[in-house]
Amino acid sequence: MPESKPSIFPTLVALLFMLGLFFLVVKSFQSLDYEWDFRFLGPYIWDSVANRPGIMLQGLWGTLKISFQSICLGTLLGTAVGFLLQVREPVTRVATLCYVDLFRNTPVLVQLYVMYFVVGTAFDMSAESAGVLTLSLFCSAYIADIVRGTLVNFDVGQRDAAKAVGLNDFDIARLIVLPQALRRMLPPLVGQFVSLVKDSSLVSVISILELTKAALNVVAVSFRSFETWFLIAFLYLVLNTIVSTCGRWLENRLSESLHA
Amino acid sequence: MNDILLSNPDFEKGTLKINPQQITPQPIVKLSNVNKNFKTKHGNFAALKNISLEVFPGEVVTLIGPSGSGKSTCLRAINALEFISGGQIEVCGIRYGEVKNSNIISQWFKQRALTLQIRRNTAMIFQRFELFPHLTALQNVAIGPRYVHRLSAAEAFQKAETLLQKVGLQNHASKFPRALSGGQQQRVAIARALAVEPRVLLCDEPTSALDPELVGEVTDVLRDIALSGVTMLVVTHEMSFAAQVSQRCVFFDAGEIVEQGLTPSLFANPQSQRLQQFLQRVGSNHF
Repeated sequence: MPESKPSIFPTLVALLFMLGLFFLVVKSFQSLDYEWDFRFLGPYIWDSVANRPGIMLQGLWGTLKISFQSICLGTLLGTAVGFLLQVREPVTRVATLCYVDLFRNTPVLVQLYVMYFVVGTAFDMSAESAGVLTLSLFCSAYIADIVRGTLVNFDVGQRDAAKAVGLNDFDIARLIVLPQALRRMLPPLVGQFVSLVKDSSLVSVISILELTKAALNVVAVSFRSFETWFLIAFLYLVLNTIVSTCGRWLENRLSESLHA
Repeated sequence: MNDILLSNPDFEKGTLKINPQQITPQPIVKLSNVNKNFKTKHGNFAALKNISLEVFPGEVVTLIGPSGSGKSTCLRAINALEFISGGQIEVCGIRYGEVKNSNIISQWFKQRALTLQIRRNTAMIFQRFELFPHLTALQNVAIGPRYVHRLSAAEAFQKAETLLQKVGLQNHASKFPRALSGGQQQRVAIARALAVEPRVLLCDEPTSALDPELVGEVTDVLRDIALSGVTMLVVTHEMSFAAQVSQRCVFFDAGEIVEQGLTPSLFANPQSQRLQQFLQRVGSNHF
């Protein structure tokens, strides 16, 4: 049989679905009796009087900074814990399992409170470091499991082949395992990073200036929550689209050998 | 026995190596009373029982026997991919024994250095090729010279190109393993193994995973290598290949060496009943 043409049926279903969604949104907004006004957000974005970024842009910078720091620290920690999860020795094993379960199975909000009000008080920690630390630990627990899963499934035969060539352990990890493991880890890892960027909104509760905190402040002054939150959602969307696009680009580059 | 020897094409050409000069008294691979136990759910499984074997420089030795008889384990033990539970192995003058279950870190490091040294003197060809899928054929071959012998990138690629040419794949250098056929992949793997200039080449069923019509291209390359005087240990199910390239043949069954001897005589009049049965089953009319 020659190559069959793609069926038109899925396209129809998708179009119908999108039309329905569009209708729902338009109808809802029409029946909403609300005077939309996005112009008031101007000064909050750029303070033209003092000629400096407004609270929204400052918040965006805060979110960027906190997410970036947490992702870096979390990835380092997570990789280390991921390696420890493979150790068979019982004490290490139980300890790392407890660590992963503790940070994955409790609410981040509670972790934040404990880190800031209990640990932070004892060690004289700033709100920002407490926030970054909590997010890193939380993120590392997920990353540890991603790392473990990938390494466990790594082809033993290839490791043998690399050993037989005479490469040392460091070179095997660097030249053989890492490039392949990275490609396999990338999709779940990017998913984790995206959700971390969104989770960073939680640090607003310990009054760190980031996007969500900025929005709360703006709403408190202007009483215009719809416009404010829509703008915030749009900014998160842009941020995360950048993250996932970078991830997809990197994945494509790393899977070059599969297209050949 | 003479009939068998005379019908061997390499013997006719005068290229078959039963050269007494090469069989010097100093073995390059020596296994003495090697034992290997695997721990399974049902207790210990003895994969190798009291194996003693000597291989001399320039020799080509084939290991034959039914599956699960310990041939592959033996080969992997020689390359230190498998630790042994008892006895001693000496490869190119490097001696290593069983791994003591001690926590002394210095000993662990010493063991590690030993295994690395052994692996740098040997090379291995695997049943399932085991090329690195994220590297091109050329990069696969160059990885040994580049990172084990620490050549510069240009030199390593130069060497890799020469070797690819030797296995007839110079036109496929920039392809990834996925784009190559099984036979081509195995030839790249052979080039990769030769790239580290091994003193002993270990082949673990090099043709078992290949389509029947691709077996020839790999055995041709391997025969050329065998004739060039590299010491080889070959685990194989191809009796005709064993008869063509090897001077000596070792028959494994249930983790033991049942019989060994010069290949032609071993095939012509097997002494033990187990070898007789085995040869009958695989069909010894190959040669």
